[in-house]
Amino acid sequence: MPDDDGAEDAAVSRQPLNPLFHEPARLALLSALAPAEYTDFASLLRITGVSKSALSKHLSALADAGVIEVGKSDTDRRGRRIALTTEGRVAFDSYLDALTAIVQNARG
Amino acid sequence: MDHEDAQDRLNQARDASRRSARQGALTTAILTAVLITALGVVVDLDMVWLLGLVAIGFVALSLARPVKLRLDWSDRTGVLLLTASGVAVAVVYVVTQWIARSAGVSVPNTVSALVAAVVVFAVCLPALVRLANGSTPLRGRSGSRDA
Repeated sequence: MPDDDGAEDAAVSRQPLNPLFHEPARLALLSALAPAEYTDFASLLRITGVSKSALSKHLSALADAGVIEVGKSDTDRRGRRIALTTEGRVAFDSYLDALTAIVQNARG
Repeated sequence: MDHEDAQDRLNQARDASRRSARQGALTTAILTAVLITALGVVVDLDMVWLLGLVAIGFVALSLARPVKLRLDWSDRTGVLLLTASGVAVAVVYVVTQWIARSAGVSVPNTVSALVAAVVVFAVCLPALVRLANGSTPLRGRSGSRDA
């Protein structure tokens, strides 16, 4: 029903946006992880375009929050594989829902 | 946050997601193309005993790939495209081989494998990108770049 959809959108748009995902680099990082089971550190560097140290800091913050998990590569002992956790996927989805609701509400 | 900021963020997220999906699909396509070409070369050199080594190499490269895609198998169109692209690769391989043999080419398997590898990039790659993009929460988000 359209009324229910409108109420749902309004409710979503009132949700506070997760401040953890606000940083543009983190948003790019999470978006890059979304279509993958895992991604290695070097690929994330290329895709997001941030520096090594900045990427490491963002990864630490997101891993501490349980949004991503950082594991070791099967073939390279020094390599790191980064993946979204199930909770991370849900939280990221909610964040995108909130952004989408803001855009849709503005369009009427 | 106003709606323009929100739209910008959605666009940024979509771009990063597409880049990642494309990179993962490209890695998979390269692996597949290398496997097909290696098989063609090994058969033409009459060194079939090397097939085991080719298989081991393929598994090792698969394990070491930098991006492993999360494919959305519920996307029927995407699955159909991927299946059709696989069939296209096989058909191109057979037809090219037939033409190469008719023309008396000395390495028909290598030639047909190389042509099939090109088809992998042309048709399998877009299908993989579609299936990978379908697995993200960004699929179907309103407003692309029109805001």
